[in-house]
Amino acid sequence: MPITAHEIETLLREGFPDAQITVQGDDGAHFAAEVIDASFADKNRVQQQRSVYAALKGKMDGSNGDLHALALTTKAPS
Amino acid sequence: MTAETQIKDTVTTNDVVLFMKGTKSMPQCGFSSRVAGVLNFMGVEFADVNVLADEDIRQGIKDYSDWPTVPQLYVKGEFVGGCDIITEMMLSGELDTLFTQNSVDFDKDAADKIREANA
Repeated sequence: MPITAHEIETLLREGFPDAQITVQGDDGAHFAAEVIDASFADKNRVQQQRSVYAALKGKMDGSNGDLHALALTTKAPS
Repeated sequence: MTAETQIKDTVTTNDVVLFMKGTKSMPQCGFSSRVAGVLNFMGVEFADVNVLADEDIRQGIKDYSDWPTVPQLYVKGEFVGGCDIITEMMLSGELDTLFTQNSVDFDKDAADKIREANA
């Protein structure tokens, strides 16, 4: 089932209640998300993106997932 | 040989390995294409593993790194990141530093050219 940018944003919002979140994309498969969260300050990029993937709860998982392509930008607030 | 053993063997016997969809000469996904393109342009010698050719590796690499997406870049056995991370590290110069620290040869001028073009 295709997923919407709004659903992605909702999942991310649950995982990162205080983050600044932007999700773009409307073709049901390709999205770009930016998450700016204070918890990223002491994490490297791999750790930051892992926690974002965790918030998406398996939606990225290949053939079982709804989400084919998500370009991710993560950072701590400057 | 299990997928995990096979992956471990690949990333420890090759300095730079890219797990990707397709091959470095014929990528089959935009994200894989971008990372392979960066490495090719920088003149980095790397092994490419086409996950589309082996379902066990395709799932195995995700379990190995605890990372749900492909491409995945490994340098000296360490997982470096996926497409977005490699792109950021390329543009910030961190990828140059990583290669230098690990004695991986690359064309510094080419790397600077990519940055100039994306400035």
